[in-house]
Amino acid sequence: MPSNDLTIQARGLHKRYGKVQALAGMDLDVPTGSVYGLLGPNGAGKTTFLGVLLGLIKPNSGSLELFGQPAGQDRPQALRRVGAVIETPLFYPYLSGRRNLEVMGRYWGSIEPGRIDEVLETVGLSDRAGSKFKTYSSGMRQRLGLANALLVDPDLLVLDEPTAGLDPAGAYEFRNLIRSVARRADATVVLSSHLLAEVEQVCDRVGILVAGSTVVQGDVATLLAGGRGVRYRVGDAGRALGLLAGSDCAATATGDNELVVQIEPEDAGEVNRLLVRGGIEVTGIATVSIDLETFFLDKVGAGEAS
Amino acid sequence: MKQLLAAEFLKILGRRMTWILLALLQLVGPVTILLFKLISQVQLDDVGLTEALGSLIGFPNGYLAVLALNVEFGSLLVVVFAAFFIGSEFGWGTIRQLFARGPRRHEVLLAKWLALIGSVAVAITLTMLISGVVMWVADLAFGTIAVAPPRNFALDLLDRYLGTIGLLLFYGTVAFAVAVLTRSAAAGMAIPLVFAFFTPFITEIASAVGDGFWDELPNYLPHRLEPTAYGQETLMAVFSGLSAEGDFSVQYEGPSRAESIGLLALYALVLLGLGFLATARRDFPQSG
Repeated sequence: MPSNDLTIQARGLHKRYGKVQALAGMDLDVPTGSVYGLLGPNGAGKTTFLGVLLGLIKPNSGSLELFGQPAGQDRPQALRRVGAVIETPLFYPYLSGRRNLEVMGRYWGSIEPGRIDEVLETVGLSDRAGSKFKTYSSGMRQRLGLANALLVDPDLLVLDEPTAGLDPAGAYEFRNLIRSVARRADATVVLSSHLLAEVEQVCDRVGILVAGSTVVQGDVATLLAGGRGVRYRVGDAGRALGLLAGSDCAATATGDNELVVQIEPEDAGEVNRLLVRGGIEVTGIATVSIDLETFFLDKVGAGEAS
Repeated sequence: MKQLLAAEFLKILGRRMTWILLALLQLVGPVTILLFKLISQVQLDDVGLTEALGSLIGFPNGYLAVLALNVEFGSLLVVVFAAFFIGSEFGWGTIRQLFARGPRRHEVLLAKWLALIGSVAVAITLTMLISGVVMWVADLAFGTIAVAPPRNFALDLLDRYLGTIGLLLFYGTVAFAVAVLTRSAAAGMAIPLVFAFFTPFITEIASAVGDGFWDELPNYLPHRLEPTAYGQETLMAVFSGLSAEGDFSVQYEGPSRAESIGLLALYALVLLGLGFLATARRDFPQSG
């Protein structure tokens, strides 16, 4: 993919804290306009990478391009196009939500008049905008964090564990909010999360990090398509594989009497006829699909994922 | 920078601590003066002492006493204010929000430091105004208003006023820089105070070690430098009532005033520079 189509391009990023290797040659491509899910077990380097992205952490080596420019070059200008919710949003406890946004807005430079009211309305905090931040619930704090990230109408929205600490209803509501905001803002979104279902629902592209390296990245649909297919229960899986080897279908034996053929469900009948004509007894047919969780566990390993 | 300064003043004005410290500053200056005024009115046994005290703490001479009180007690308040002003940002983790916004780190710190300078200058000026009103009203009430201030009073007052702001900024800058270096409000507050507390011991130890360099060394410690010494001397004069003529000259031997100011500025700026440098090089991986 040409680098000018990428909002973020990381190559060989390394970051070490003493004996801990937080990033170990990480590569990442985030296409412009995508909603990118950053996945990985604890300690995989997700938050470190986001810290590097936002200029809070300096990598030991490697390169990072933001909006097609080296990140070190005019980073202040680049960061003015980035809105971020870093972990639990942190604001001044003694100031109201509105006053906090006013302070943060000034740190961004000038923001349009009325923008604060607009973003408070977007995240549903207008009614409590005058209350002090220290009186906010977890959900309201996350909402204020999102409002803060949206203040500058960002070209890149970075969300680090945005639903952490929210109850299921709050997380569901917040997820919907992110989705609608991402659509409306027409921004590139990077979402780091432990919640695979959340990423699958919200993101169109994912990258999986393990021990500071990217093990796989790509479109969610394409990645999961590799695990989709039709399972056949047959008399002799070996003979069936031999028979299918002559066709275009990729097939894998998953047992003595079972094989999975990577085809769309509507083609299941055609493969069944092929097997039966070849003298293979077919006793059962079922569609197979994998979700992001299965895919993730396959790539990361169940032990590491926890 | 204008926007950053505006943001800093929004934070300062919105914080309860600012108003508590300002109220304490008013207690230290104007209220102490008023208290002494009342005491001086009831000490009828020693007329000379009563008059001396009345002159020192009445309008307009009392301004010098107010400034001296500000040096002694205001420095404590400024250290607390400066340490919490930056230290809380590290404690709450809000400094990461600011650093991720776009302005460079040194711009963020510079804006905070400039806001600190502005706040201290405003606080001292406000104290002077309120003190003036308090002294004037008290003198009117007691019929003791002094109409003829000493010669060069205005110049002396301006000199002390600027000196007081400069000194409070020295203490504030040291607390600010220590809080930046340690990323802790508590350390920013404690280290300058502990150092000030132990300075007399350091002085004694240095004198005991030997002559020459060691004997001279204490003269280069902040509390012994000429500008910092005037507050103590003036206060002593107020308390003892020795300076009935309004003579505030201090017996001082050590580096000249210009040298002293240079050294204090150097101490503060070196610490501040180290704070800026450390912040520029540091990682800010996790929120507080």
